[in-house]
Amino acid sequence: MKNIENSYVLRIKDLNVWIGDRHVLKNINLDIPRNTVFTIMGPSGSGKSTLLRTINRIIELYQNVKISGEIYLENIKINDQNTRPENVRRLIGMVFQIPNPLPHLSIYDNVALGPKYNKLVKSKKELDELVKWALERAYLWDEVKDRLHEPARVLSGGQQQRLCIARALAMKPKILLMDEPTSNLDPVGSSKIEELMIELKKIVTIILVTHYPFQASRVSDYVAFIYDGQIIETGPAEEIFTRPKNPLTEKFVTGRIG
Amino acid sequence: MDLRRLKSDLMITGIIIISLLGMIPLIHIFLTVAWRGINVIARDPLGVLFKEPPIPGSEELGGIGPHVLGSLILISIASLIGIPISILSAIYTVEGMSKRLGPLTSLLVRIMIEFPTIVIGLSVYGAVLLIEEFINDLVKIFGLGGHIYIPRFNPITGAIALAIVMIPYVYTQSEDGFKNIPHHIREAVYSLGFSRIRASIVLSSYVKSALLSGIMIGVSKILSETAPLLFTAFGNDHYVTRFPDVFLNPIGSMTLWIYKAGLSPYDNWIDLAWAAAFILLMIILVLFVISRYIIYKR
Repeated sequence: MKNIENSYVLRIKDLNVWIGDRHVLKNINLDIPRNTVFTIMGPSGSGKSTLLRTINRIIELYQNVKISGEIYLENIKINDQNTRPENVRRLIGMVFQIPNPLPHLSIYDNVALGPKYNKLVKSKKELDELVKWALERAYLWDEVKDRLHEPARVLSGGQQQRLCIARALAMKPKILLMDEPTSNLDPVGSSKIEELMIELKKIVTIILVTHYPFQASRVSDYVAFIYDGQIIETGPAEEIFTRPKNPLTEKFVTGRIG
Repeated sequence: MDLRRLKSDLMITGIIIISLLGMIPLIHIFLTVAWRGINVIARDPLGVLFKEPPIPGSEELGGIGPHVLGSLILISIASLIGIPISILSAIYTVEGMSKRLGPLTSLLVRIMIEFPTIVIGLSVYGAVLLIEEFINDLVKIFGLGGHIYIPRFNPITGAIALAIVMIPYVYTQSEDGFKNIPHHIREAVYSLGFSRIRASIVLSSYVKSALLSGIMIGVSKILSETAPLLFTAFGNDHYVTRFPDVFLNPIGSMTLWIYKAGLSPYDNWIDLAWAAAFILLMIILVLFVISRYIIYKR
């Protein structure tokens, strides 16, 4: 029993979210296995992004949000009043739909910002090494190593998104949330990010949100299909894509709803 | 030429003429101040900037040194008080430190813009009197002898009055700056595990041009204020150099000097009022250009 518990890095129990009067997430129960790519897929407006933002508590930045249920990170409840949201966000990094490096900061500073202010490093040398490590992990080091102090806005869209991945990785998170990270990128940029995800799961658990079933089939180990705020079906990716149990899931993976 | 074209040309010509008419008073004021001011300053540039005002009605020109210095001291202290309060209040409102008090703060500060500035000066003066009375009541209650006197007219009271005038201007620009931060930037910053305070510092660097232009607008505003200083800084034609006397005695300012000397019947004082007006106008013009440039860069 203990082993099963430990193999899950994140567990969500009976999670409900209301934004204003709208019941956006309904009774969500999910167990996310460690070092996998776990994809939450579903059509637009089904509550995927809200679910990610609830996990790292970014949703609390907005008003009129009500949440019930429990979220455990390695068996520690992270969504109660006693846990500070910033502590949760240090352990659960996030990459967004729009590549959002801070445009007024340099490439280096974008990656260094988190570890520096959260005091994850003791010296400048350690910080330099961490920045290099994160940029290497994000397949970006070779492209930017000679211009680390140029503003981040000079990078292409795909590079900016990889910079955001490096920025999140520099915090050495346990989980990386990726909210449709390729939807604003061209096919080349997208395929690089997909390759990266498969490589990154060795060091971090990835929870990916996408409304492209094909992307989900290419990168996922596990998939949850969400529709109208409810988890319709969840399981190993192969099963969901080859033998979906629910007709709605089948419709989605075959591109008949979306 | 067809009728439509003629009508359009007539309208455009009319608008240009009306705009030019509207600009006449502005250009007139600017040219008059510049002409009169430059003529006075040219007679003894350093003297005008550094000397004390002359005996009224004498042949001597003298200068407005204590008033230039006074303005600098008043603006500096007012900025030290007003700018942090304004920016911190804007962060408090926008970054949701308090869901109820935040919007109320925003509303109250926006009302503050409409306060007559002379009332602000009078309120600071009144507050000093009240504090003095309170302290003397305490002195009596505890049976201590004597009477405590708090100086009413000094750079501190003047600067407090100016800071109150300044706050809504810096605040509104800062608040707008923070409000206009795109969601994806705010989320990026918070996703790095920063507390609200730390995130606000990082976001401040993102909106630094809004903050800077707010500061410029606020400083230009208080540079040209006279009314809040009438009951507080009071004006002083002499340098006060000794510490701590400089903080306990009335202090001059260029606007107070223009008010006093401009109303006087003495030619040499009136000349120096023009000089002060020109210096003030130039400083404000420079600040205005800098703030417009910052806004343009945004």
